[in-house]
Amino acid sequence: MAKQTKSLIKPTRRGLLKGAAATGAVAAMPGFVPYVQAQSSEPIRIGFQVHRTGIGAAYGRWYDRTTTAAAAYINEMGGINGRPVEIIAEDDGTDPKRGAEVIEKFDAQHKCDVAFGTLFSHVVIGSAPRAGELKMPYFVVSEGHHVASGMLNRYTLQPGITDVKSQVQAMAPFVNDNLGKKVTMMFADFAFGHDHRDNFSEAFTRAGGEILELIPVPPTETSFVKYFPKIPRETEVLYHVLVGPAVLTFVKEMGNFFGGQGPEIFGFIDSLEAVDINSAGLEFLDGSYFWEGNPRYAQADQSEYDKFFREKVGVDANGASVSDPKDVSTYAHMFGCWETLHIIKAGMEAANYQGRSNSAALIEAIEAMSDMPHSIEHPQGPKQFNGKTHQTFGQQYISKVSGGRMDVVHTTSIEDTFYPDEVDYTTMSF
Amino acid sequence: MLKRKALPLAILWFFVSAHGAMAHVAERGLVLLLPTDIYIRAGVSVVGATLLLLFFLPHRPANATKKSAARTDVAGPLSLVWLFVFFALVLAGMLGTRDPLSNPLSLTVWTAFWIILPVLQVVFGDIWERVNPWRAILWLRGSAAARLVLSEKIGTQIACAQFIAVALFATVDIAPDDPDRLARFVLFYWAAQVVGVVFYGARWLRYAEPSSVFLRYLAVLSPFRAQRAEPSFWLAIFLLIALGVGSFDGLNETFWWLAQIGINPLAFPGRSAVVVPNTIGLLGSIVLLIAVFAGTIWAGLYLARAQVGFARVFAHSAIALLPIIAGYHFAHYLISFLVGSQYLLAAISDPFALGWDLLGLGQYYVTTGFLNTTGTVRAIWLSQAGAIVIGHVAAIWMSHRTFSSLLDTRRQVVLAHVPLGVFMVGYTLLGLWLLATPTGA
Repeated sequence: MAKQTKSLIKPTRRGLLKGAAATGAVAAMPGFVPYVQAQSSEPIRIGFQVHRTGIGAAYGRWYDRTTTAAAAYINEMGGINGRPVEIIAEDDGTDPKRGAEVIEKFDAQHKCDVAFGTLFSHVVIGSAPRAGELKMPYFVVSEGHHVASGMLNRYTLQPGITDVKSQVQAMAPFVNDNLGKKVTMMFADFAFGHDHRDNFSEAFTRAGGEILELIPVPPTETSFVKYFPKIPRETEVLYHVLVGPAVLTFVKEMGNFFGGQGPEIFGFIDSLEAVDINSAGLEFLDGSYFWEGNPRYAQADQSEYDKFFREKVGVDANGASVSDPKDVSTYAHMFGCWETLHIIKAGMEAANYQGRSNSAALIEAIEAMSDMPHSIEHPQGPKQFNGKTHQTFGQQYISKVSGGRMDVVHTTSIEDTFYPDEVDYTTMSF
Repeated sequence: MLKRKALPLAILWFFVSAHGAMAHVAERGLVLLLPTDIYIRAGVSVVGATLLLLFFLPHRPANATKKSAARTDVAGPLSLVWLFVFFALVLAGMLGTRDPLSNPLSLTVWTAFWIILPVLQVVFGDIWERVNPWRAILWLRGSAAARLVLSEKIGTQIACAQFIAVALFATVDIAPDDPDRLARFVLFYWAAQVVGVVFYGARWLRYAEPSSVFLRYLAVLSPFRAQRAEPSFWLAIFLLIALGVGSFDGLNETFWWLAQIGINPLAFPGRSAVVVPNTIGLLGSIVLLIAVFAGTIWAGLYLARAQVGFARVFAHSAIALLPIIAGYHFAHYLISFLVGSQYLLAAISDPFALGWDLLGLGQYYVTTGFLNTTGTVRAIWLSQAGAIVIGHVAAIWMSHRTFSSLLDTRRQVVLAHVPLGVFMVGYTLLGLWLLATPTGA
């Protein structure tokens, strides 16, 4: 398999570091073009807080792959302000305490310019205060609402991926207009499920729909047959947000229960991210709908940017690794690393960033951003960044499972994802 | 506070494995759909049937342990090469890439040494004796008589204590795979053993250095290089510690354990949140296992009304735990091996992160796709279960031989073996359950 992909010359991260170092050396030579305009040929050091181990490792592997590809591409195009980008990856173990330690290492040991790349919310929440104290710009790729909710600080931004609150509420109009007006929700009975319960219920009721029943499922549950009879008969849409190893069992039991006669079924791809939808037991998903942050399967109207992005990160048209068609990526989320790195680049260039003393200028430059057009830098789609809340907003996708793949049936507008600001970070001092 | 991502989001279930080194992947979603209850019943039945069959064997006094002693090789200048390799790895840990899945030290310690080497020892015999980083110290030290004499008893007690310390680092520390942290730990550990070797000579490695003791005893199982097992009370404790650590290592990831310590298995908060309960769990597992094992020996002797001393039977019977330890090891680390060995291969191809490609891998992507299909997941599960079952069958056979060598009549052998045999059948059940139950940490 590896042989087949040999022609794809994409440096590994380690190769990249070497490349960056070599570039520094070469830049000192007369006649060398790309980086010579820079006042310093020192690399821009980006501390990559990556879930290499722990429960986030499935995501971490793809975040790492995307980040490596993005940095290689940025360097190919001449780096940032003429300086090469160096990615310094530190494993946070998907642990908030370790996350804070990693931020300290980025600051003291590696002399990083920014920290970047965290996914899991508890690690973001554990790390952001330290980043704020150290005055280190901290770019998270988490989807959590923690940034826009105002609980973090001016140094923490989420410019490259939308947050869960906007995603969930943007589903309501489509469900109401197309799938049905009477919804029953089955959700994991803890914070994750509660986010969906609260945000969707509110938006759906506002859209004129009705929530018939809320069915919480304890996190330790591994069989769901006793919950299905609680679904009211007049339910038109079942909205499910369960996660964990028992999800396949849930889908199978749901299929057995309804026998193809049930309501429309809607879920979030988070339940099945990095999982082959053609896995045993998932055939019951046929005809159901999923939110996708970025369509896993290349669509008929695939943009040239999506095509380019897939090629760079080594993902095929089915969202799997080019080296193993069963190795399904975390496609709905990992674009966030690509987009965020490009935003860091744009911010540093706008601020004429030279070093850590320009951190405030970098943040102000990004706060000043608003429209980010669909492009190579933003392959998931156009974005609108809100400088006050440090949160980006963008299109969401709703796909239908059919014939062993997922096809987009609706793309929300960016406006569908808006909600009133809950914070204005720009009023906080640096 | 919204914590959308504060949970395992996918069915691909990744957790910090107890060796702490690597994302340990368990495709529990697909496993939960396999008919594991049938597999488990079949596996337990095989072990139970083995126990019953042995009861009908005629009584033939046997030696419980292999007697063909392998001479300890004398260390030579070649040992310096391995010392050099050791220091090169420590240096890589301190100065190399910070990514534990690319750093040569993290991969060597947690994949090559911790996961692969024990299996090689079982198959090929005592490799570690030749390549460990203290052999050179022995050689440099020369044949000078040890300044102090280390008794086997004290030595093995030290090995027990050191084994627990290493196990705590691997299973409880919040970042044992961090290259820098690991380099410091490994260097400190190495230096501590150097002190022992300088003062006590080869006996330190033979009795007090836990990796040498552990790996030497796994090599006892090797069909190729017969080694002498030297049963002793403290060695029995050592082996029980090893089995206790291995068992807790699987248990601590289960929904069941997480529920006991009040952790939502779908929102594992990270290792820093479970340091205290997992320390208690690890130590508690060891104590419980020693107590239950001792109880079965005592009960067996009581039933058989045997005249043999408890300590002697306890010591000899514990040797029979070796195949169980080996089976658990294989089963628990198989998936880590399948993933980790890919990273190891990449690191070997480019050991100094200089962009080399010594193995001609080309653009090399690590895959976990084999955890995404029912066929491969079933094959992996059955391999794991097979290792557990074979380990217990071998253990039952070995313990039968132990009792045959220590007791006078067939009736005594059968009666004395019943409690231990039942324990081993039960341990089979535990091992298979650990493979089938949902995990979340």
